[in-house]
Amino acid sequence: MISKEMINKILQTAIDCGGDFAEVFVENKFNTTIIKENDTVEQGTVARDYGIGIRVIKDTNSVYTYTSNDDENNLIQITKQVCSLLKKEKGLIYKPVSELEQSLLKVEKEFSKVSYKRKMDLINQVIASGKEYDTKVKRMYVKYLDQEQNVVIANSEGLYREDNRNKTRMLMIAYAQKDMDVQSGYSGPGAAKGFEFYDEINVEDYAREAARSACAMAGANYCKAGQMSVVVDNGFGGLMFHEACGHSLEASCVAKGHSEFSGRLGEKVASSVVTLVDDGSIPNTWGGLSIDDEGINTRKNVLIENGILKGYMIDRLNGKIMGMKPTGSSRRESYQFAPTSRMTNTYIANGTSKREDIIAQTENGLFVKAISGGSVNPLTGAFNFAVAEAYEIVNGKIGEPVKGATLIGTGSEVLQKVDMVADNLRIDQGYCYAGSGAIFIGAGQPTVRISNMTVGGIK
Amino acid sequence: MLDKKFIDYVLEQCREIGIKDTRVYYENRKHTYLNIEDGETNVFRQADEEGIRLSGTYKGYFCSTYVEKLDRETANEAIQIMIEIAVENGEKGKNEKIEENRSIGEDRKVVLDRKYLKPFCSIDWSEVEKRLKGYQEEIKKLDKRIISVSKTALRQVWVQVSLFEENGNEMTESYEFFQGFVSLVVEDNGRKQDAYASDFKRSVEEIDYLEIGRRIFEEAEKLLLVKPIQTGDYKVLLSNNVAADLFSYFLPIFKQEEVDKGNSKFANMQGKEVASSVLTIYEDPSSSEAPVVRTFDDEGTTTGRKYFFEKGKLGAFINCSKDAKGKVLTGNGFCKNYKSPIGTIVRNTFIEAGKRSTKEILETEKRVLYITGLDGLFAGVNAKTGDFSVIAIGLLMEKGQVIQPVNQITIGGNFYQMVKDIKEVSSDRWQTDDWENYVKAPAILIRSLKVGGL
Repeated sequence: MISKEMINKILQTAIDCGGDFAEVFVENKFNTTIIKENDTVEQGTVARDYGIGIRVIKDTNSVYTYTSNDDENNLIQITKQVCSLLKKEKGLIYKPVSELEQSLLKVEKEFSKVSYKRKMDLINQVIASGKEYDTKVKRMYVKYLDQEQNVVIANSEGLYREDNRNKTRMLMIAYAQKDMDVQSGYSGPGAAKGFEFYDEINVEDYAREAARSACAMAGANYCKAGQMSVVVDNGFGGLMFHEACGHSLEASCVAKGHSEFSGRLGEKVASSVVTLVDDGSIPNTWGGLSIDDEGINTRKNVLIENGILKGYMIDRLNGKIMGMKPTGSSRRESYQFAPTSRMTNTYIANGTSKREDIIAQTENGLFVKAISGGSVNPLTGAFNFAVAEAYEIVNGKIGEPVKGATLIGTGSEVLQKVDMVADNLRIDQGYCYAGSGAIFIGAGQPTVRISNMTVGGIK
Repeated sequence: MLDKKFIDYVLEQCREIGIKDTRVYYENRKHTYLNIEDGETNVFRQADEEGIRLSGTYKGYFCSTYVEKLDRETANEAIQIMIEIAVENGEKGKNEKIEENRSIGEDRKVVLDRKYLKPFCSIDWSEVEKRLKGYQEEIKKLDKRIISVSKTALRQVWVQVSLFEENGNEMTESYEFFQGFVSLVVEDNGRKQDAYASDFKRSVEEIDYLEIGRRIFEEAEKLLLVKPIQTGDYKVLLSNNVAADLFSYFLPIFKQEEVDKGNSKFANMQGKEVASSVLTIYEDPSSSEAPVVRTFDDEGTTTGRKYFFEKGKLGAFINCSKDAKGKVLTGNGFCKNYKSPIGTIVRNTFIEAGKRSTKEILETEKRVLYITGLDGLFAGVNAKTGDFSVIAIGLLMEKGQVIQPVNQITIGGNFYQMVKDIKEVSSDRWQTDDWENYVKAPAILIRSLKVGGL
C-alpha cells in the first residue's frame, strides 16, 4: 500500500493542476475463484489484485486514471497527464490527510487461511447433492468466490479511511433434462463474512433448491405472451424493482435529468402499498459495506415511502449537481473504475397481506418463483427481465410450470400497479453491471402482485 | 512498458520450481476516453495497464495464475500459490508440444519471426476536446427537438500482446482503434426518445460524428409516438445493428466445448443444411475490418477464417487446445484479459451482405415489423436452448410507410428455427458496440416471430 506522504503528494499535484477536489483509492485484494462443472475444473485461480485509482473533480466534471505501478514518479506523472484538460486555477484549498481512520472488521475464518482443498471439498459436496436430487439433473455448475479486500480512501478534504471487506458467494446452477429439453435452476448464497459463513448455512440445501427449480422447468410448456396479473415471489424477485426503478433513482441518472424520476421528490410515484429502501448498512450482507467507495458511512435510504418519492441514492459528484448531500451510495467494482451512485441492498418493505391470500385472490395470471436478470433504460423507464421459474395461476391456484417468459414495462407504470404486498421479505444476492463496473448487490421483496403487466413469450 | 528482465526472471523461477511448458502472456493496454455532454467535458479517463498470465504444468497438472503488480515479490507469491493448487484443480497437462500445434492459419514460424508491434498513436486530447465540442454543436443544430446531446465521445484503445515460451520463442503484436460515440435525446410535446450509436475506425479523422448524429436522430424522431401493438405473429425485419446484437449472443453454440457439453443443437450436423441459403457467417480474429486484429491467439496458435454457415450449411466449430481433442486448432484460444484463464472465444464475426438495401426491402414488404432496438439480451437469450424473448422497439410498416412506431413489446422465438426462417439479408451492414464481441451484420428479414404486446 502507498504511504500517507505519497497520497498527499498525489492530492497536492491534482489540486495544483486545477482540480477543486481530488481522491485516491488504493486497493489490495486477495481472491479465490473456482469454477467447476461436474468433474471438470473450468477455472481455479488464487491471485492478488492491486492498484490505485485517482479521481479529480473540477466543478461538475471529473477525470480519472489508475495504475498498478505504485512508483512515485509514475503516480505523479499519470496524475498530471489526466489533469491536462483542466484549467489551472490558483488558490484552491486542499487539506492534507493525517490520521487514518480504520474500520477493520475481523472475521472468524480468514479465507487465506482456509486450504484450497477445503474449498474444493465444499464445491464437490454441492455438485454431488445437486446431481443426487433427481436423475434428470445432468450437470451441476458451481462458481465459488471469496475475497479479502483492503481499501484506503483519501481525499483533498482530509478524509482518510481504511476498510476491510470480506465477501464470499457460491453460485450454483443445475441443468435438468427431460426428453430433449434442458432447463436450468439456480441458487446463490453469499455474505460479507469469512469462511465461517459455510458453517452457518447448509450448502446442500441450496444445491437441492437449484436442482428442484431446474427439474420443475424441464419439459415445461412455453409461456403465453400477452398482458396479465403477475405475482412475484419473495426474494430475488426484488430484482424487478432494482431494474424498474432502482437505477432510475441513482443520482448518476437523476442529476442531469436522464431519469423518469428526475425532479419528482414529494410526488406520488407508486401505489400506497409500496415502500422501497436501499440499505448498505445491513451488517454482513453481500450487497452491504460499512463505508462506501468515497469513504462515507453507508446508511438506510428510504427511496419511496407509501408511494411517495422521498429520496435518491446520491454520490458526491452528482450530489454537487443536484445541490444535495451524498447518501453513502457511491460504489465501484475496483480501482479501475471511478465511483458513482449505485445500489447496495434494495428491497420492497413488508406489507400486510399474506402470500397465500395474494395467490388465492389472483384469478388468472403468472406466478414468478424466480427471476434471472434484466436491464432498464432510466430515461424512458422501460425495463425488462427474464423469468427463471414460473407457473400459471388458474382460478387462484398455482398450476403448470411455464418457461421462456420475459416481463417488461416501465418503472413508473409497474410501481402504480403493485396492489398487494405480503409480509415475508427476503433479500437474496446477485450482481449489477453498470457505469462503475460489476458490483455485488442484494435484491429483495416480500411476495408482491402487479395487477397487470406485459409478459413476453415464445407462444 | 514491457520489462524483459522481469519476464526472464519469472520464466527462470518457474523452471527452478519444476514447472514445465511455461508460457507467459503479457498484455499492455493503453486507453483513453473523453466525453462531451451538452457542451461540457464531463468525463476524461486514461490508463496504461499491464499484467501477465502464467501457465504451465506442474507434476503433470495444468496450472495458471495472473500477476498484476509486476514485481518479484508478487510474482514469487503467485508462482508458489499456483503450484500449491495445481494438483487440487486436477487438470491434466497437455501432451501436445507447443511448436507442433496444427492450426488453420499461417505457418507458426512465419508469425514467430514477424514480431509485429504498431506504435501507440499519441494524440493531442485538448485538440480532440475542441473538435468534439464542435461536432456536438453541429449535431444539436440538426433539429430544435434535440434537447440534449449527452454523449459525443471518443475512445482510443491500443493493446500489445506478447507470448514468451520457456524454449525462447516469442510472439508479439499490437492493434489500435478509435471508437466514436453519439447519444442524444429528442423531445416533442412532452414525449422523449433517446438514441445512441458508435463506430470504429483506425484514426480519429475517419469518424463521422455528424453522420452518426443524423442517423440516430432520424431513428429517434420516428419513435416519438411509440405505443405497443397487439400480441401475435409478425414478419420481422431486424435492423442491421439489432441483428448484430442478437446474433452475438448465440455465437457460443459454435464452440466445440459447448457442442461436447450438449449445449448446441448443431452437434453432428456439420455439412448439413441447417439455415436459410441466404445466410453465410464467418469468423476471423485476423480480419483488419474489425477493431481487434490478432494473427495468433493467446496460446500461440495462428488464426484464420472459419465459416459457421456457408449458404445455410453448417461449417466449423471453434476450439482452443483444451477442447480440440486432436482436431485442427482454429486459433480461438484467448483470454478476455490477463486476469482471465484461456478459453475458446469468438472474435470478429461477419454475416455476409445480400443484394438489396434495408430501404428497398422495406418498400417491397406488404407489412413488416421493423425492429430498430433491443434490450434485455443478457437475461432474455438462452444460448443453450436457442430460446429468446427480449424487449424491443421499432416501426410497424407497410410498403415502406410507417403505420405505427412501437415500444413496450417483446419479440421471441428460437434461434435454430429463426435461422431457417430467414427470407433475405440486406446489402448494408452495421456492427455491435462491443469490440471484444464484434459482429457485423446486415438487416435480416424473418418470416415470423412472436410479439408480446397488448
